[in-house]
Amino acid sequence: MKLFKKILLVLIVGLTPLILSSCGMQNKLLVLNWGEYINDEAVALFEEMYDVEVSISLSDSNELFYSKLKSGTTAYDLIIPSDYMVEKMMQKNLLQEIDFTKLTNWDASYGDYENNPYLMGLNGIRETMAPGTENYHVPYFWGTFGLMYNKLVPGLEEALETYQWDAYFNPDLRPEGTRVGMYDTAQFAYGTAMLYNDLDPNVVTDETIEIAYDTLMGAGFEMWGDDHLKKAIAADNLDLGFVWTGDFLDMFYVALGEGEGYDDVSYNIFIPDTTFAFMDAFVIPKNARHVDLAHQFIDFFLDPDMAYLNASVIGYPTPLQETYDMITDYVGEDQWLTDWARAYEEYYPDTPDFRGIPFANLDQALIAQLTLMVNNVKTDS
Amino acid sequence: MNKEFKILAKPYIVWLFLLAILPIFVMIMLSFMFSEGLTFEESFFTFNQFTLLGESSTLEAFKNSVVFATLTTVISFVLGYFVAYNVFKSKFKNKFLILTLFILPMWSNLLLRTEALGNLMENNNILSDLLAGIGITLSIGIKGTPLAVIIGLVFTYLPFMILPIYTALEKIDYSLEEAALDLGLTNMQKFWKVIFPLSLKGVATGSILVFLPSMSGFAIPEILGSGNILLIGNVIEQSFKIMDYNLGSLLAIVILFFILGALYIVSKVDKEGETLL
Amino acid sequence: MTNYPVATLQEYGYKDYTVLKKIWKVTSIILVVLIVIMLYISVIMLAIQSVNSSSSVTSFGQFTFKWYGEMFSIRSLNSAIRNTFITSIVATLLATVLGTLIAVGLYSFEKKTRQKLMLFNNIPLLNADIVTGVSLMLVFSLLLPIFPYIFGPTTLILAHLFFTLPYVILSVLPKLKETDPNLMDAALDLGVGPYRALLKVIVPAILAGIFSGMLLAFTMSIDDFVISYYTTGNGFDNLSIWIYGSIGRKSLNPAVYAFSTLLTLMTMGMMLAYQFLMKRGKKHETF
Repeated sequence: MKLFKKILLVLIVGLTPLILSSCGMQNKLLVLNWGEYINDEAVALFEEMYDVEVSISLSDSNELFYSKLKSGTTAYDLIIPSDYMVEKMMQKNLLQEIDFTKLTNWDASYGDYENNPYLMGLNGIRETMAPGTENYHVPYFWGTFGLMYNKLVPGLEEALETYQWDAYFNPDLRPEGTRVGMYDTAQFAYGTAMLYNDLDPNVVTDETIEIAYDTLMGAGFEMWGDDHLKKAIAADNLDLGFVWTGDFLDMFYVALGEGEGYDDVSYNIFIPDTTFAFMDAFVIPKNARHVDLAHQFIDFFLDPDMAYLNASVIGYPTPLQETYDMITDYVGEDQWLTDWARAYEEYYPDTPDFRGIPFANLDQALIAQLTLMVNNVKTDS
Repeated sequence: MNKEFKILAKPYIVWLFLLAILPIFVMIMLSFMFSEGLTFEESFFTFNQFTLLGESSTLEAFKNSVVFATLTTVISFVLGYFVAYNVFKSKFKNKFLILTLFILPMWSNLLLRTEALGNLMENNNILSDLLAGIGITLSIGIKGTPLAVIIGLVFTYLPFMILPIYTALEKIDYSLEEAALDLGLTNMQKFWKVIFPLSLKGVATGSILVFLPSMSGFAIPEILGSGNILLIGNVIEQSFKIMDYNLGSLLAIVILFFILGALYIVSKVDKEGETLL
Repeated sequence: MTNYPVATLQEYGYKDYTVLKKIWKVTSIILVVLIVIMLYISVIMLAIQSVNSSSSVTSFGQFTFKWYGEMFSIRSLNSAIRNTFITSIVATLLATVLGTLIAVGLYSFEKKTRQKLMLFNNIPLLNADIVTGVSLMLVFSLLLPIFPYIFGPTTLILAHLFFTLPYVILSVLPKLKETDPNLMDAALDLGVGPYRALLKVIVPAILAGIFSGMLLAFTMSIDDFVISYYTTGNGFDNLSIWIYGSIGRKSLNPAVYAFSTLLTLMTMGMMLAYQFLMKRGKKHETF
């Protein structure tokens, strides 16, 4: 009998997590976000203010966001997907409408504007999205894509400025021995190949896949990766790569923070005239359990001061006009803040013609075809 | 042992059936369908996945997996047997400690370790930075090559080869060795005719423990191959990532054949799995 | 005394291998040491990175211990570490107890049936991580309608239990076979109930197997990534998932290197301490 009691005890120990987990759900906000895409200090402030716990799970691709939401294994309260994924989720009926009356900072006035306005480039992206999506999302960060390059390679900068996309895909137009890398996402590889060929990156047919295949084979990529690309370029292990502009700025801000001069950093980014752009936004899933808390979280980050705090650790541009002005209007002694202002103006100018093409929402079968094509490129070269 | 205890094992058999066997049937079903993720609405039967098996990248990935896994196994066998034999023959008081020494690296996270190894293989890394301070320039830029992936696989899975071989060696009755020597065999002959054949059980299980993870893993080829080298594990992981459970299940079933083959070998060579550890 | 010449091996027809043997022995030792260094090279790199003041993995700033201090102040890393330990310790404890009992149960079967059952037992061991992870997720998803919160610590512990039980069973079973079959009968003859006999007689005899099984289960559980990735949820991330989400990015705080090095050192220390205690115990045994 003694043995049975001991076994029982062990089983109870094992079952407590099950019981506890259901109880602990009450005051815990579940957020699904990209890696290093939020300021932990700001989150801590939110937790203190509202006396709740915020748990942030990480995922590194829109498709993963979608599969996690669809499989329903976790009832997230907030997800931060990209533009095309917001559309897809809305069309598949996975989101609930955002109640803008609960967002006090949404209606806050700024200057001559009534609502907390967004930057022009961002509005350009939102205009391309399917009608009705504006009820389901609140912009979080946005940005462009570009070609990050190693300044230590002579002639690379000039090649890029002259030839733009051609320098990336054609080995003859760039200095010999340039090590080139590409982001390991099939849609990016396909899209950039399409831009090189002056075709629409969001249209996929059998012929275009052939063309993309030939282009990618000809480029001679040495490395396929995600965040490894920006790190490799900074470490002088790679010379050229297609990255998010924000990726470059992440590394740039760190370098500035460590005392390097603005013009002394060994890498830079070139943003071609025709490039891609994206927007990430808050959405609330249909089966979210803490809807009011989710709204409060969104509201928190719509406060221009909080957005400022958030933007100070993230390389992507803030969506809010007021925060943007706060950053770029800085005049003062602090070297980092001056550099920050300068970077914003240089890489994210607030002009009407600063735009990019958003990626479209391609369905699973097409993505599978693109992935297959990229796999063929990897194995055939 | 008392027959009464049989009841202790029965729930385990049910558990194994539910969690190990049942999913296999689900995956077989998924291989024949097209479904949106894991839900079965809008799904229909199709043989589409099977055509994908013929694609050049899938075949190449299979080839890579088998070649890399075999090379890793062979290299680990040579190095592992060498180490196991030397530890076995040594006069250390506590061999348990030595063996724990081999398990210890496995307590550090695999991703961190592989990433560290990957850094070493780049041209500019922390070691070259340190050494440059002393005036030595060192750069081994092999990251992204098949060699890097094989080195990574061997470094990671070598302990899995050492332990079973050592266990098998320990089990050899010493009197057999003495008899061999008495009968006039030299040490070399004694090794090849007596010790080696008796240790084959350990070699077999060690090889399986190295071959299977090498073939189906995806972290090591992805990090050390700089995304260029695709093993079948990478393709499976990709398809699950884009929610293409159908292709992923199909490939997983193919790998299952390899696993069943391994189970068959184990059942012939090491009936109770004594040397699986 | 007549001086007889000393016989040498060569005269008997054997070759003189002594020099060769010495060279072989020295090279063997060097090679083994090299291989051990090979295995540890990445761990050493992690240790170097843990004392690097710069968070870049390519340049060395200054020697510093600050990451060791910061280890417990980063909230996401902290909760990841805490979750990892909770999962692994609970799963290991459950696996050890249940595994031992199951091994006893399996041992009670006839040899042929037992061997067939052992084949099934090996499936979790040999199956590819990703296949196990996805299949477990499939099965657990079926339970979602009944237990909506099931994904999280529960499923994670169940999943870890799934792949650690075979290790414990495989450690205990050989030891069971080595025990004297008469022990059980003797205990029963003396009037002890079967379960009490199990606890008092059999368990001490197989303690070494239970211990090594526990160690192995903990090792496999603490480093698992793929299976944990697919079977967790509701924000309960473990260390491997945290690392996967932040590796290569700015958010990979070097404190995790400090944690990893600390864990390795602590385990080494425990092993050495255990050895030391064993030796002292032996000293006291000899009168």
